[in-house]
Amino acid sequence: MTETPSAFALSAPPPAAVDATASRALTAAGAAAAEARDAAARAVDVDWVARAARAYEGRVDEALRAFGDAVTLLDAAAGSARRAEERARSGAASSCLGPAGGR
Amino acid sequence: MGDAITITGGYTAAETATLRDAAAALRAAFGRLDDARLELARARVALSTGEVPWAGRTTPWSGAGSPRGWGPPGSGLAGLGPEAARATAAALDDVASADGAVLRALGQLEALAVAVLRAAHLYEEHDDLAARLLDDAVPAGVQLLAAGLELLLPPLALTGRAGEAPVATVAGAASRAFDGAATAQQGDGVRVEDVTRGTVDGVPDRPLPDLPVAGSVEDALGLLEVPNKAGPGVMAVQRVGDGPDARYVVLLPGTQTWNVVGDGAGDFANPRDLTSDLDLVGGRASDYTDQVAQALDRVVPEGASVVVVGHSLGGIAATRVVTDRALRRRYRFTGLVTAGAPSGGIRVPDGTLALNVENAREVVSALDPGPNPAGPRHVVVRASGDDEVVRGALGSAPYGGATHGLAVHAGVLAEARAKHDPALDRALAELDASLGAGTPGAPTRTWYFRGERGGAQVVAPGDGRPDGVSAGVPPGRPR
Repeated sequence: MTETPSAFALSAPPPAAVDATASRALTAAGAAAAEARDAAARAVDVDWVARAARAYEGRVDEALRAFGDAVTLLDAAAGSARRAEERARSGAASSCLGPAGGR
Repeated sequence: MGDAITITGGYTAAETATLRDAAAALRAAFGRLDDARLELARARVALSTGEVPWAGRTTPWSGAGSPRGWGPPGSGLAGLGPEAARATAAALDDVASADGAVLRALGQLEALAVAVLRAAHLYEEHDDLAARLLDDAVPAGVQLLAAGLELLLPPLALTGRAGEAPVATVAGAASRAFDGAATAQQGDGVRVEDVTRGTVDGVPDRPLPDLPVAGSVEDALGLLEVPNKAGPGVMAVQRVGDGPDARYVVLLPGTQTWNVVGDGAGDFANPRDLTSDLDLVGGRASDYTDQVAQALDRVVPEGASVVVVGHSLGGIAATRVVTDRALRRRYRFTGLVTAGAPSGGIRVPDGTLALNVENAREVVSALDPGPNPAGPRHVVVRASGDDEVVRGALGSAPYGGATHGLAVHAGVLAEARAKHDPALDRALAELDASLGAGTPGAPTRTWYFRGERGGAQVVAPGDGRPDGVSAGVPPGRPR
């Protein structure tokens, strides 16, 4: 497989930009999924709607559960990304300062 | 279950608007889930490449580019230390899991939105559709009947008059001839007798039972078997409760004999016969509805609440009874339930909540001049034949005879009830309550009435009796 160089030039980011990347995107994704879950829950909170949906094979409970799962997993992913970013930042910091214990 | 059972009618505009609002909310939820997927994609790029191009930054977020990297060569993670690389790989795994969960939520949401839209759309469409079809549709079964009658009755003029449904003309013409034949043999009029003994559980001459309160429409269909098997020409009226709150359930079983031309005394005694079928499908007075009118007159007080439940011939008789103007002035017909009845083309006034149950694998309910006119107060449950109950009935009787049975219709209704269609749920709740489901311990009394033709005047063949002579339903076009 041929390696494709990044289209973007590499340079050292400021620490704030580190936090602003993956974890922030995932947090935004979690918030969007939570809003989607709330909108769907509001829609099917009307008894008539829930029954109409069930009558035509819309699985209301499963749908709401799926939304809940998505929000939970997005939260978890945001946490993981945050940890990865912290590790990377500390790695970057240590590389600036030299290997830990190497001085 | 898919479309094995279709339910039409029973909705109101307000409910449809509610469903549309819900559909709009679900569409908004779609939008937010799409946003979530976009953010997930960004997170994946950031974690994989160390870059944040969407933010206008082309800078790595880590120590990428370090010569002592642990990440995959060529990736933005190449410069990460081992712990950071492991943490990043774990985060990418979590992102993949979260993305899968969002996709699953999207799939569920799509199914939910489609279901809600279908519910909202179907009911609006069917209201218009029913009205359109009323004027021009003639089911195949009716055409078959018409063809059969043409062969049987060559001397009769079978051409439809302007504005009259062909089958009504055919059946009307046929029944006029048969009626003449019948009256020539036995005279006109139905004698109605209160009976207390009959066949019960296959044993003749036993006391006829006081029927229990029907817990549901399906139960009421089951109760029809009692008068059905009690003896020739028997129908029943049940009182539920007592005092001023008492309500009445009229149970009209179907055809018992297939006589159309009498060949001797006794042949025409039973009004539950094909002659009544033809009269009713042809839009004329029938001896069966005369019998019902007399029975009501004897035991149901004026102004009382009445639900009429009928199977096959009993179903069309029930429909004629609840739509009869004279009878509507005397009684409050709160509900009508028909199973396998050729009652299409008859508009039931909104004061009566109507429910028709039928299936595509039995011919009887197709022997009518038009489809059942579904509307806000008229719900039609129709099985295509692909559902479990009808398939089972076909399996037990390959030529389809069993598909017209009461048990099959009750089973189809139970299947439909399990769908929890909002329109049907509401109709069933109202009908169940009218039958007495909310008062299972209420006192009941059941009367059985046997109808018997004959006795009065004799008229010339083909002449028929004058309309409106008897206490029953006046003839005329289906309303």
